[in-house]
Amino acid sequence: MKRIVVTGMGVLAPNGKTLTEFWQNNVQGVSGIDLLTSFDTKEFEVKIAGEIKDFDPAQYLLPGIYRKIDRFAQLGVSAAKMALEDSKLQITPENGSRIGVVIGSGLGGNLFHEEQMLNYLKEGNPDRVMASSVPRISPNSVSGYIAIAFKAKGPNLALSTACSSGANALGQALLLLRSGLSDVVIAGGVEAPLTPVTLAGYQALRCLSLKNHNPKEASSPFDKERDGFVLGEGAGVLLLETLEHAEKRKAKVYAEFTGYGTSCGAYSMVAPEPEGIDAAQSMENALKDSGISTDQIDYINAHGTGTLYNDSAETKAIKRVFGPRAYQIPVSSTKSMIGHTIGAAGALEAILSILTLQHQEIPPTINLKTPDPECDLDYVPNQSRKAKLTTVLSNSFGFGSNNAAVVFGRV
Amino acid sequence: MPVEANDPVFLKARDVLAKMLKVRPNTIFLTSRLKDDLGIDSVDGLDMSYALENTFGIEIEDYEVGRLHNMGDVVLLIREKSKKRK
Repeated sequence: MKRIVVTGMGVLAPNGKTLTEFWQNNVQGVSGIDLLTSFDTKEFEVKIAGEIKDFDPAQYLLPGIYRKIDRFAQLGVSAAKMALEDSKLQITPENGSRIGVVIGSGLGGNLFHEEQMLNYLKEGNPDRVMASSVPRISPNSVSGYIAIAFKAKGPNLALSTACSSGANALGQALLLLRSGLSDVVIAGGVEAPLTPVTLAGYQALRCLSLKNHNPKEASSPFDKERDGFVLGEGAGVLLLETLEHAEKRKAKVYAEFTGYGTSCGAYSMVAPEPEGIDAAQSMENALKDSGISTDQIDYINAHGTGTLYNDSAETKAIKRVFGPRAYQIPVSSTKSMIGHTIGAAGALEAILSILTLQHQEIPPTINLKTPDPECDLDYVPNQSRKAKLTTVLSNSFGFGSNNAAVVFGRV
Repeated sequence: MPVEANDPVFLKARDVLAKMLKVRPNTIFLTSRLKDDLGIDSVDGLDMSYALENTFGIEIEDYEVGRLHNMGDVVLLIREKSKKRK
């Protein structure tokens, strides 16, 4: 079987707009959560979010691209540009058809869609809806514009599995590479959910934290006082390629992408199965795919949303897979610092997991103050930790009982 | 009547296009070519005609958009349509 490696990464996260800033802030426990500023939240119960402040698409993209796309695609194409530059891969007419793109997004171009709906509703006039609405709101506008911007002419896919979209995009890219359909895949996840109607929907679902008084402490995965997740926006894009291709062009290699597991609990469109049976299945599948045993995982980057149900079910799932060893494996939640970036989460957390391999240090779960008997693993509370790390696992669980787990190994 | 660079219709149309294209108005000239200089593709052309219709209170047919080559043509079309409206 072909070996697949990571040779470039690009991030746009609430606590970091470069790889260095993202790593430093995560390892120092710096939260990117704050009062939401992109629209007036006066009538909203939820007033906090993980926003990417001062994001200017003109810094990354030409006007011919960024002006035609919704914010979610601006984030995604910009992160792809960073990943490509980081990888130093040159896309040419000769190699373009061997370069694929797979990008996950749970929601698509909501911001533009809502603006157009408002235009229509003002007068009930369909002429007020712009022709460019269709390409702007399409979930595949990110993968499409990545291809247009960088001339990647291989397989081009958009994937939507809610909060596991980013991890599943990486997994599907792994399969494309192993199958020989592509030599390189630009893969990751994006989301820009901070729009009035989207926030209202999540708020109505009662899954968001209401700790508006102290935004930085609102996202508190695995804590007894947790009251839901904080909605965030972001993009994480990775340059994945076959080891053979990377070696041929003497590329810098961050890590090996050794395995992917996915499963569906067939349980509920919103709630996780409380015993974590299907979540455990995705982790077991990823270990099997990697050809490793449970003894070889040194760190787990949890899905860790901060909802009552996820954190206890995920804890049970980890125990189900790792048995008594579950208590010896450090587990931490990136969402404690950046909130839940929905379709971007799996990709951003994969990038952070790869950075832990590079730096041999584990970022903490911040805001973990009151232990919950239901969540009794080692969550690396509040302080980062140096560790010897060879193999790491990252979990992503999405609405629709959709689970994905990815495994990366040090090279 | 030839179109001058200080023509009020041009200045107004330039602002509409600048807003749509997210560029500064002073980067758009009477001689700017819609496709080659401003990057307006077929979908942008439809967005542009909606925006001009709303701003100038006129109606532009889709086939007319395809005949426009530069900003000067846009101004002439708006003038002609505005006359018909009167």
